[in-house]
Amino acid sequence: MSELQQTNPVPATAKWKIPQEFLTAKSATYCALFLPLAALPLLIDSSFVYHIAILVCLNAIITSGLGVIVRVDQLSLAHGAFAGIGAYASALAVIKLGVPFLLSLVLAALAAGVAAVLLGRLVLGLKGVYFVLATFAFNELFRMIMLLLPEISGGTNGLSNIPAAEIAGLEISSKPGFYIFIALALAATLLVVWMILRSPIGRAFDAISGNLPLAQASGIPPRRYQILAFTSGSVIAGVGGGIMAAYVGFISPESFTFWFSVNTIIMLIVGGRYSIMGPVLGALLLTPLPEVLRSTGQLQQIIYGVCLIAILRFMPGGVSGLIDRFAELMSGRK
Amino acid sequence: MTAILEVSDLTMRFGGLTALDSLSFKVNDHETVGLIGPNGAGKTTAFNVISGVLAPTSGTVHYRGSAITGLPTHRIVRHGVVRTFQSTSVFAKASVLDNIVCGGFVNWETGFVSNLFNGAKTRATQAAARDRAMELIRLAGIEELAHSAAGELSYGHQKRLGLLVALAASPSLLLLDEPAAGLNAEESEELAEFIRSVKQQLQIAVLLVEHHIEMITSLCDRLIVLEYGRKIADGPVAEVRQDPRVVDAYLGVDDDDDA
Amino acid sequence: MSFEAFLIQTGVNGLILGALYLLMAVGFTLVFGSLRVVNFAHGEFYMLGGFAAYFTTVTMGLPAIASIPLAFLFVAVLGLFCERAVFRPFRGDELNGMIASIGLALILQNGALMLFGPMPLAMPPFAEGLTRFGSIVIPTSRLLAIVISAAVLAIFYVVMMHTRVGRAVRAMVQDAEVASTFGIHPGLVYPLGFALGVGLAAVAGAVMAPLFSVSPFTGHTPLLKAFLVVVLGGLGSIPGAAIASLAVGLIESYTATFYGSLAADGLILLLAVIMLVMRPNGLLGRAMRVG
Repeated sequence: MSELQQTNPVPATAKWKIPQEFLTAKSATYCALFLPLAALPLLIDSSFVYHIAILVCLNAIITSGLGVIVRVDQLSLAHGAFAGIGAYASALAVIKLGVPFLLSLVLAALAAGVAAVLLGRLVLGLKGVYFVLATFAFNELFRMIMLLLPEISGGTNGLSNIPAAEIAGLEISSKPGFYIFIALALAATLLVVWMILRSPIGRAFDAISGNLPLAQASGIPPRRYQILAFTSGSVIAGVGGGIMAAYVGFISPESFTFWFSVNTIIMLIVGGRYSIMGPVLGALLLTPLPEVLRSTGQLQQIIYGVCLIAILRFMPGGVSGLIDRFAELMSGRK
Repeated sequence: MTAILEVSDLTMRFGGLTALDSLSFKVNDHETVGLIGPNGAGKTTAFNVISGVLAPTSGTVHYRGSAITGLPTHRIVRHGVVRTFQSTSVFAKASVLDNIVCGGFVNWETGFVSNLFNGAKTRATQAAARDRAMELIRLAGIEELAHSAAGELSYGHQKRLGLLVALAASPSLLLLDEPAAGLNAEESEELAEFIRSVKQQLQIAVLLVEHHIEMITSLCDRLIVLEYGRKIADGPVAEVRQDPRVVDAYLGVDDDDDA
Repeated sequence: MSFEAFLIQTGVNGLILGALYLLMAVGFTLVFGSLRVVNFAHGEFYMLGGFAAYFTTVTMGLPAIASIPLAFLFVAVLGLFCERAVFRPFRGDELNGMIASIGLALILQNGALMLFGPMPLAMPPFAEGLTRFGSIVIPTSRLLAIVISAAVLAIFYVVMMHTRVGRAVRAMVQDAEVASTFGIHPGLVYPLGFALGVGLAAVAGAVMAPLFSVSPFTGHTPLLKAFLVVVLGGLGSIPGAAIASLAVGLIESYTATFYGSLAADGLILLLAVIMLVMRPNGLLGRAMRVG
């Protein structure tokens, strides 16, 4: 475990900083990078660019959730299922109960949170391997339950009549409107993740992933924090799923398979799992590719596979690890 | 003197192997007790049961009157019983200061909402934890290393940091698992001196498993000797060293490693 | 067909599935034991075993029986290469090894898709005709699938118990340092353990290829089932895996026949969940505890 961390190119002192320190070179670099990028779609004003930008934000939200889970050294392969639970909860609430869109997202978060606490209590005491196998099995179980309950889930046909998102009577289905909404949702997600990670909770997460026996001997209850990380991350996935349902307008059990989780993992690793902005970078780099290069699907997947292995091997901090390095150089620290 | 730790009839079996056989002993307030014995005598097992790594087959452990038998480690810490590890064990990536702050987790647990919004309570406890960590760093005389990454320290410094991390949890009984393992004579003498001064200043009890006979005799008020999971002697150091059974079983025989 | 004969036929199908899952689970356990990697690419090696069998029999016209050792060899060699190229830096590093195996799965599956296309390929059975046991009639090809699986597992058992390589790999599963006392360099045992493990998956793929079909997507279900068998039987316990595989195969076969395959999959997942709650170390797994 600790060997894993020593290979991290981020210098050892870079972690666990007090907030004031955190709010300097690094965040300035990210702001300089992302604020103009975020404004770009509004300037270009093309529906295709809006579409891509919305998907980038969506993927960044969902990947941020996985980033929180990985903080305690655990990998969830049920991330797709939690996005699915959120998507179904939100879509069904809007369709069957006429719940407003924003409230349906709260329900999505609740549904994913309850499921995550239950699953977490069930499997988080287990060794890492069993946890992964259990989340993998849970993803299949979710898909199966959805297929077995066609009255609720629409079965293999899925739900296709999801109404467009509406906030305070204002329809935001138009691309610029939805883009502004989802960009704000992403900012809110990043803020929440930042708040969790800079707080004593994040400190406990780092202690658990850094040295589990010592963390326990220091009085940190690992299960409680592992469940907290798992639940927070899964709730974020659930909200992302709810937003996805409203944007795409169609969901089916096949939208949330094992491969959904795999794509999320790829974005997280490429973007960088040790940084809050890593998921955004991962989504930004990898989302446009399949949309732009629609014809070369298989080759692209192979490239993903190769990138994944190469990044794990040669730059475990991902792209954000490089940016952190750059920011530290700029601020004059070694 | 009052007994704070009371171990009664502790038995631990692994399959057919009996590692502890009705072991009973006490540790008094402010006392330093050495737990010694030949290889496989059950010292480490006793340690693991007391600190909650293992649940015993039968028997009880009481600390200041409350049963702590079989509780998970993180709850036993809350009773004031804190352990260190045989090998070096630090949060390698974090700074020395952050290591010690982390070790004091039990002192800075605040509510979820306060944590999330960095409320006044969280800020106050975090600041207090940092002050306390700095105090411990000064106690150890390693101020110049406060902001170095723990993983980059020398072996001896990492061992000492392990001790500070445990002290941060404000123990009233410190369990030291072979603190001198891997140190040379000079370093272990330094460490013994440090443990003595810490014990003096913080007014705590210490239970240690150790092989370095110099360290044991220089630190301990009392020795408990185990053999095949049973207690064969228990008394002041000078007395125990004369006990023929102990001499037979252990002392004088050179031996450096425990199962 | 009488009802009893039907029940027996269903049982035979269950045994076939059980044998498949056992081959997968044993290989998976071997890879996990030696490299500490949860191998998400394990199903892709099963898939490649199927393609290897298809090309040796259908394209090259070799006898069906030869396809199995050839599939094993081809995939085992590929496994040696993959261990070297992908897993070597992640030995003992569970999280990164696991993610790397997902990358490998992507490469292998999409590579197969590019080379062979998405259409399922059909393969002729090992043998024509029926075998009679009194009043019971079983297709010979299915009987052969069970016999071959059992034979491969027996050979595997002998190799593991009675050869130097096998003993070294077993020692490695227990403890990396002990392996060197068998006169085999630990650096060799990792690739050998991996190659043997994925080779078993390839044998499963080759044996099942004539019964099911061959396509780039066939690996997912056997992988899932291997996971479930591992959860049910206990990671690292071969007898546990044997019992769990047969149980899962038979339950799946009977439930699917009477209530449909969705119900069968659901029931098995439910069993796995119950097992995780009641006995987190599986039927016969060793006790493990965090910390």
